[in-house]
Order: sequence, then C-alpha cells, then structure tokens
Amino acid sequence: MIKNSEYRRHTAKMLRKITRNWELYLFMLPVVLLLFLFHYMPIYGVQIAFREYKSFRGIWGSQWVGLKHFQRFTNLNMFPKLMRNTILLSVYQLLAGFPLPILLALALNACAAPRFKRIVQTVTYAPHFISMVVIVGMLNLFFAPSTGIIAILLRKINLLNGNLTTLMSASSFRHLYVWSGIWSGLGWNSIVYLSALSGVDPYLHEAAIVDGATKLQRCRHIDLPCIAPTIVILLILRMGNMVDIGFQKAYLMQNSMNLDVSEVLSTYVYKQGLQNAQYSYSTAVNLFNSVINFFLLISVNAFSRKVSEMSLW
Amino acid sequence: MKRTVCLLLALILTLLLLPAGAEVALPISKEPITLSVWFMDINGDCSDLNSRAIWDYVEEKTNIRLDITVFSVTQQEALNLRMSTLDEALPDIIMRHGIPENLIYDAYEGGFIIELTDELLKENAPFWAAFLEEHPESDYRINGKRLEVLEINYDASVGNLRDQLLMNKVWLDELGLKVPTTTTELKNVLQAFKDHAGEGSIPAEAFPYYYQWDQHITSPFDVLAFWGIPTRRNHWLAVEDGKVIYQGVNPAIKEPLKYLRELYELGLTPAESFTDDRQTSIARTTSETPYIGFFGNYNNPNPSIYIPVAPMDTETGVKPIMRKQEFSYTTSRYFMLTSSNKYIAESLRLIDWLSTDIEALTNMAYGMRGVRWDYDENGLVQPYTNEQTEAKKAELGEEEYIRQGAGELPTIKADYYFSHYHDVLADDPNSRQWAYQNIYKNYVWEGYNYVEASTGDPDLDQRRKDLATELTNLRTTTLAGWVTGKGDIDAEWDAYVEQMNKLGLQEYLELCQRGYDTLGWN
Repeated sequence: MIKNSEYRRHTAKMLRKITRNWELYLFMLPVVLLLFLFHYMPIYGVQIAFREYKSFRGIWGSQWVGLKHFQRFTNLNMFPKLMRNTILLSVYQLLAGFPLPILLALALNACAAPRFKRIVQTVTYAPHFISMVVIVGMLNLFFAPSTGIIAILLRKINLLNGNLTTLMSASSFRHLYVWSGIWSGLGWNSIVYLSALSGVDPYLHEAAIVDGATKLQRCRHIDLPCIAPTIVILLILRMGNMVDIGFQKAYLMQNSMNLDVSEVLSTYVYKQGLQNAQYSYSTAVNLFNSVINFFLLISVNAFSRKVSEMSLW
Repeated sequence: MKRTVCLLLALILTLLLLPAGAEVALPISKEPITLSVWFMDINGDCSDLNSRAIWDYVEEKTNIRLDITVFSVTQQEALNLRMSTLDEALPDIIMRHGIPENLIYDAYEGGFIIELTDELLKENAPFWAAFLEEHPESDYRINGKRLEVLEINYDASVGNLRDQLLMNKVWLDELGLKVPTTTTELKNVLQAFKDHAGEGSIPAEAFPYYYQWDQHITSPFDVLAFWGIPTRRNHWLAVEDGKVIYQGVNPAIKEPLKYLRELYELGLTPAESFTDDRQTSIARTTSETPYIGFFGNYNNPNPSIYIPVAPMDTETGVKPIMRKQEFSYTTSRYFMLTSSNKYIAESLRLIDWLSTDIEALTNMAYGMRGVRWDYDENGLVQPYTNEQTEAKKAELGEEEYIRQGAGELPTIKADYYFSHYHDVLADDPNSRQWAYQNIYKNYVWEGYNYVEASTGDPDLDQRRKDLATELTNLRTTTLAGWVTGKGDIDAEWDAYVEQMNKLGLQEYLELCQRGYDTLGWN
C-alpha cells in the first residue's frame, strides 16, 4: 500500500517535471522517433536469420530453421580468414584512428593564432564531405601503378623504378584503407573533443601559467584529464562497432591482388546477401556481427567502470 | 500431271511456312489496354525507354500500351528487395531485370509469377511454342519451370563470338610492322610499341597490350584461347562433351599464364590491368587519343585506328580459338508475366506478333523504320549503314534519334527472320559482322559455354555459391600473383590444385553439373 502511494507520488512528480519542461521533451521527440523507427522497429525482422525466408510466406510464415545459417557461415573454409581480416582491420583502424583526432583537438585548442587555427580546421574538415566512392576513385587514380600521379612523381625523383605496387599488394591494403580513412575523418572526429575542451575552466589554465606550467604540461595535466570522460565514452562506443567495417570502401578497394586481406565480413555479406539475394543468410552473418559487438560493448563498459569509474551506464 | 505436282508442292511449302510466320490478328486487344512494366536499365542506355516512339507504334497496331518504370542499374538491389518483400503490387510484366533466380522462383512458388507452360504458349504464342520446342537450348528454365522467355538471336556474328581482337593499325603502319599472326610475333609487335612510345602517334604512356584481369570483357581469357582453352566469365567454367569442367585447374593454362607473365615482366601489359575498375577500363579503350596497342572488345570503338585481327598461333600445333558469346539466347531481354496481369493472353500474343511480323520485329529490335532501317529493293530488311546512321542523326538530332530506338521486348531472330533480312553490315569492313564473316568464323569455339542453373534444391544452390566465392578468391589471387611475377607457376601448381580441391572443387563441379543438367541441353 505504501509502495503504491510512493509510486503514484513519484509518477506525478515526473509528470510535473515533464509538463514544466515540455519544450525540451519536444526537442527529444524526433530523435526518439528516429531511434524507434530505424533501430527498434526492424528488430523483429532479425528473426529471418533463424528462418528460411520466402517472400511469399512473409517473415512469420517462413520456415523456422534454427541455427542453420549460422552453422553454414561458421563452417565456411574462409570463415577464420574473414574474421581475422575484419578484426585486424578494425583494430588497426582503432589504434591509428582513435588518438589522432584527440591530438589534433589538443593542438588546435592550444593554438594561439586564430587565423591559422581556422585554416587548419577547414582543411581537415573538408575531406569528410567527399563521398566514399569519390575517395576510392581518387585513391585509384593517385596510386595507379604506372600512370598514377604518385608513381610519376616518385619516378621523377628516382625513388621508384617500375610500378607503384600500393594497389597491387595485399600488405598495402590495410595501410591505405586506414590512413585514407584517417585523412577523411580526422578533422570531423576532432570536433567533439574541441567541444569538450571548450568546457575546460580557463582559471585552471591561468593558475597553471602562474605556476609556470608549459603548454605541453597544461595539455597533459589539465586538458587531457578534463576530456577523459568524453574519450572513454567514445572509446567504449567505438568498441561497440569493433567488428563493423563499412562494406562500401572495402568493396570498392577490392581487386584480385588484395582479396586475401580485403575480403571482410561486410563485403562477404554484401556479395552473398544482397547480390545473391540470400537475405536470411546475410541477416544471420550480420546478427553474428552484432552479437560480438554487443558483448564487446558490455565487456569494455564494465572494465572501464571498474578501472576508471567512467562508463556508459 | 507436272502442273498438279507443282501446285501440290507449292501448297505443301506454303503450309510448311505458315507456322514460321503465322500472322497474329490485329489489333490484339479490342479495347485499349495498358500494361505496367518494370525494366532494369543495365547498360545505362535506356533511361528514356518509356517515351520511345516504338510504344506509340505498338499501341497503334495492337491497342496495347506499355507503361514502363525504368530502374537504373544502381537500383538493382532495391528492385531485388521489392521482389523479395512483395509488399506492393507487382507490375503486369517484368522485362530486363537482373533479379536472382532464387527470388524469381520464390515468387513463382508464391503464385506471383505465371509459369509459361507449353499449353499456355501454344494457345497464345504458337510461334514461340513451336520455336522453343524445336530449340530446347533456347528454352530458359528455372528449376525446370519456364518462368520467362528471353530474346533469341541466332545471328552468328552477334551470338557466336565474344570479343574481337583489336590491333592499333596506325601504330603498326608508323613502325612498318605487319599484323602479327603468332604469339611470338605479337610479343615482338608489342615490344616495338613499347620501344617507340613517345614517337609519332604513340604516346609515351602507351599500353602495348591492355586487358582487365579475370573479367569477361577486354579479357585475358583471349590469351588462354590462343592455346585452345575456352572459358567465359570469371567462373572459369566451360562444358566439354556435356561435362562441366573447371579451367582454373587445367594444367594447360600454365603456358598462357607464363606468356602473360612474360608480357607483364617486359612491361608490355600494365599493372593497371589488375587494378582498374570497369569504368576506367571503358575510358581507356574508348579514349579519343588512343594509347592502347592491342586489346579485346565486343565492338571496335574506333575502326579508323583499330583493325580486327585473328587469334595468334602459339606454334604448338594447337589450333587457336575465339571465345564464344551465348549463341542461343541473350540474357539481356527477359519477359516475365506476373499474377497481377489480367491480360495474359494479350501479353503473349504481343510477343508472338513481335516475332512473326517482320516490320514489328525489326522496329522492336533495331528501332523505327526510316530512321534505323528500311527495306531494300528486294523487300528485305536492311539496317542502315554507318553513313546513313550519321546522316539520320544529323537530320533528327541525337535526342530524337535515340527516341526512335529499339524497344527491348524479346523477339526471335532466327531462320524465319533472316530469310527477310539483308545483312549489309557484313560487307562493311568496319563492322563486327564483317569481322566475324571474314576473320573469326572458323576460329570460334565449337563447344558450349557453361550457364549457371539451379539444381532445384535451394540448399545445394547456396552451397554452390559459397564454394564459388571461396574458389574464386583463391584462384584469382593465385593466378594474378603468378602473372605479376610472384612465385613460380610450375613449382607451386600442385599445391594450388591441392588447395582448390581442399576447398571443395569437386563438390562444386558436381553441383554445377547438376544444375547444368537441368537445362536438358546434353
């Protein structure tokens, strides 16, 4: 009885709060709707990973086949290679791509010349707006083995004799993939850190200057600790996408010479799922991906909470 | 007596000819009807299809209007998804589509696609029924069911040859060289192109020989064919005596691979052959300033520069061959009826009319009379020559000329049609037809291309696709590596074949054979 009245009191209090701040909740509405429509509504379709989906029978009417598609995937000879390629590319991308935007944000934040800062920001943000297809097209043109601009320049300065093998070598694929990604996303990814840095109390810096701290010391002892929660949260979120390699870029960069390392889960799903219209199978492979991502997210979040007391929840 | 016999013979001959060209009563529909159509613009040259003059002509003659929704090739996956969800009404007709067989069959099982049974065809499209009965190799089926009919073209110059081999005659002449006839001569000519790059009209960055690795068009398969090895598409399969074989592990490919490797090491083929995408490849072969000495292509992009040449003799006693296109039907024009279609009989009579009425057929296949073709003095259909075409384009303007183009509904171009056809292009040395008749005819491979077909068991079909992906990945990287100078072909061959077998090559071949056998062509 007491619990019930407490619950009612609590609900009424919450409703009052919502009514008082209805404008804020109205702002939230589109996001909630978006999430619901595109992230929660489709979840019911995940069941086709466990069914033999037939269009005319619909999702619920298609035959239940349990883990058949998962077994088919894990029994593939290329399954270990697909996983290895995907994870290696992801880890490389994370290790190389995650710290650089932080460094750029710290550098820009410490920059005393506003004009230079603006130029650097514009130059580093711009590649983000180039579509992936164009970026890969540029890579193919610039790094073309015999006619690309880089090969021509290197030959002119006698640093290259013969073909530039970047596009033809499996070992170059990951470097090209990751570093072109860093080039296109560096500036854009630094925005969130710049915004976190703008919240750092200027008095801390003033006090540090009075104490004789150098710029580097202020970065290390003031800026970095202040944006640490943001870094940790973003890192945890990145871990939640660990096994997701966007198919578009890897697929576009694929050729006969680099297939050994460029065939990743997403390109495989695209070829088998969308090109061959095997929707149940591709859903199973993607679900497999998502489950790994989910466990990674939970584990990293728990680890972070234990170690740093910072976590998503 | 003689007169009676003659009359009798004439009567018999007339009766024999009737089924070949039996006329369809017009108009096909008493009341005007409109049929909705989905069409996939695979080649990117039909975005205006719905507004073409051919449909006014069809409507005028038959009372049937086609209302066509054109999908661009980038919408293929969207079209597949629409077909897989079936959550909206299908159109009455699906023409060229690119939809995977399994989706079509699923839709058929669900009652959304009409099976074109013998009875249905005999009743409404007797010309098609009789033709398919006589030519089972043109009777395309999925899991034994005829769910669509495809364009049939028995024109040998179109169907019996894949790519022509094109040599840069301007460069040959500038260097005072003869057209090569053997692989050794070819290598010497290519070397001369390389040595004289930057001189005369040969650009410094010239590609002596250009191909696109593992691709069907502008393909290195042409070199395999010099050694008498047929293959088509990047599955590397062929059919010999009814048996599906995998050329990717045929020891005979070692020699052509070594030849390609030598050309690569000499710098006579560019590394771009392994990294270019299709669009870049097209841009290279059609470049206004030619910088390729030798390549393979379906059409000659510039007859004033490139000449078709015969396949090279390897001097090993093996007769060189030319690769073969699909001879019996082309997979670019499909015709499938859906359960939404209330006018099945009229739809079928429409395609029968298009194959029996010579004028309708030619308008549909080549474009409108008076713009794309006309009758010659003997009343035979005569396509316009390049000169006439250019004059027409100048007269009408490019846009109107395109509007007067072909209609993409399937037709049957076989004996009956060719008896009404005057192939003037066969006399034009700049045409593919001439090249076929005068150079390639005796070289084209006489066997059958492998055509992928369902085994009838979805699980087995899926297994085949899985195996195909794994085998293709290993084969293409290994062979490309060898050609570009990595490893030793002879030393590594056995290990490669063993690895292919471990990946399930034999199982793959059995599944391919099982599917191929369902076509009933053996």
